[in-house]
Amino acid sequence: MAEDRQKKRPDIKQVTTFLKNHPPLQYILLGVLLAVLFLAPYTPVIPGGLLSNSYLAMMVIYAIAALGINLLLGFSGLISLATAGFMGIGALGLIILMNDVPLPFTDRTGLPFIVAVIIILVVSGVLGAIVGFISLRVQGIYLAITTLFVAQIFHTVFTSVPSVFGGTVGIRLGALRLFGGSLELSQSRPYQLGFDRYWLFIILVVTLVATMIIVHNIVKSRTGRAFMAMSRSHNAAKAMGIDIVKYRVMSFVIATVFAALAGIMFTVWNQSAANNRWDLMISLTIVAVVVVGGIKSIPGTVLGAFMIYAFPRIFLAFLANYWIVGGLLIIFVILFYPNGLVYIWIDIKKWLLKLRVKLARKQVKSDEK
Amino acid sequence: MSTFIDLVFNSLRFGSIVALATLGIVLIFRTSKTTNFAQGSIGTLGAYFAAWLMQTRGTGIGVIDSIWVASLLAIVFGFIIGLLVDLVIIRRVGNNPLSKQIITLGLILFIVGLIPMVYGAQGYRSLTPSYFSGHLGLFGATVSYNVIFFISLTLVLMTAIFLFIQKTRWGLATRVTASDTQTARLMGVPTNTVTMMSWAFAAAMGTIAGLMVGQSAIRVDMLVTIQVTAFFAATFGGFQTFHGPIIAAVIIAFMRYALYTYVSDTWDNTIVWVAILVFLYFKPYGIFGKAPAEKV
Repeated sequence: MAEDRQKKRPDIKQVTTFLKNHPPLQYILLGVLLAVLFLAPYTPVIPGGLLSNSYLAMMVIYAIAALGINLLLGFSGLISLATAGFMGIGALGLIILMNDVPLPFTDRTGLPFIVAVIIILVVSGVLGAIVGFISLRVQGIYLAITTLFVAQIFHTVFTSVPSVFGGTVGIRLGALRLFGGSLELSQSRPYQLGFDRYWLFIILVVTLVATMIIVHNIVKSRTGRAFMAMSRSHNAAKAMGIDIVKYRVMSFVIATVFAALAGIMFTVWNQSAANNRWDLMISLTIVAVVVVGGIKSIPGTVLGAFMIYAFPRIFLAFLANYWIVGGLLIIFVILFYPNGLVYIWIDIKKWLLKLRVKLARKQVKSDEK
Repeated sequence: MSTFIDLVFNSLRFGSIVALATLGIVLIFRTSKTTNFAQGSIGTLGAYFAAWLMQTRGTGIGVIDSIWVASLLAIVFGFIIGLLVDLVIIRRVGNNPLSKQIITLGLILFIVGLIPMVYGAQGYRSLTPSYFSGHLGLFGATVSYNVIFFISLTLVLMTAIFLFIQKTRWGLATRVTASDTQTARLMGVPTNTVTMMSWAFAAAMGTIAGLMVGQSAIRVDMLVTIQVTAFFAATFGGFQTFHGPIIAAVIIAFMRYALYTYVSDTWDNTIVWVAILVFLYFKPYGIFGKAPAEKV
């Protein structure tokens, strides 16, 4: 037995170092963990059942949008409060394209899912480029408010045309038809094992993992280094031959495309969307996810989404007033971990080290006796 | 003619409310180097306080019949809340402007949760009676004395604040802190106190805006539109001046109501926002703002 243990130990260490050197594998592992966690509301560990499931799904959606903002805020040093507008485009656009747009050469309406997604991503990318070009002229707080203008324009368009974007009740997609209608996933189907909602959640998780890997690859590439150089000093970056216009527009395009993707995932999960929820509050919450979770940290963004969206709603639901706790949570995290909650590991490690030293000292003392 | 008179007074009313909120935002931005997203929420808290004072009967506490007394107490309450926010939270955040912005988001959530907890989950009626009753006939239009009171109160307040900022020692300290906090501190200006007082005055002005809106409805989200418009006014007028945002607030209000009356009642906001966005593309730091000098 003892020999066995000695053999196994280095193996585990090898696995952990391998994981440390290959972050994409970590993200896939996180995705698997989320997929398992989705089943947890039926155990005593996580209370809430169905409701907790939908909080987990919303957490994943927020994390996808926040990853784009993390790239913008953490790596490029820019800020955007237009996230909600682009999420709205994704969410409402998917329903409109899949419901109302006539299919060419047939008398049916509604584009296939993949086509609709591609159209939305391209459109939001183009709009993001326009925002990026506008952003070239302003910095800091002015940039934040300028992007807020964009979000507010979308918001008023959504709410001014209820005939297209639905009223506050929202427009319904109904079941999500994939592969030319051969697979239908519906939110409203009865809840049982192997259920539709589980597969919908799997789609969300796969998207999240893919986004995390994409962001990781961007950050580790030439583009990511250009972003970071740009965030420190525009002039220094320019002097090193970095094309500011290109990279600034590019980071806005990435952020808006991710926001639209998050909106699409919102519709995939909820299968209906209201026209009036895409306001400043959502954009601010997503910036808060990045700041609380950890600027420049990809797993930190998911942690932030968990802390801000899922944690108060799932675990503090008994308080009946989780807003107040959510607010206090943000305030305390920023006061004590201004760089993000993900850096709490460093403190825990320090504390463990101190504990170990203390124990070792005690050991030495008792040995001396 | 009567529609035009209505238009002028409506836009002046809306403009004054936005101007009060935006002056608070600019005051905080200049002294504390952060955008206060919670300006509207703090004002809402103050308006709820007034409603609570006037409408909670049978509990033995807080039965005040006069709206004047209730409003005055609410403004004092808002002032104290502003002091506390700076003392307890903002002062301790450190120098990262992003953290400060997000902490004001935490503040919004906190206040949204606090309101039903403190004031009870039952709704409140709008703040009645109005400060002044009666109407004034003017070229065929009727303008209520209440609206005239709002507009003149805002005018008096703005004048008082500008005289304060331009003529007094404290005003000088505020201007110095606003232009360069670090140098001001080195020169012996109590910048912490100045910042704290700015938060207090901003919160009091937010509360006045809340009381004005509260005459038509008391809701948790009653000041959201005002808050967003106030941000836009601050950007449109330029954050570097105190007078720019106020003029911008009135311009925005006038544009909105003019479009609403004469062009389209669904697209008024959209047209205004797009117009300002285009304007900001050519003059990104607002009507009165200058581009900040950049260190190389």
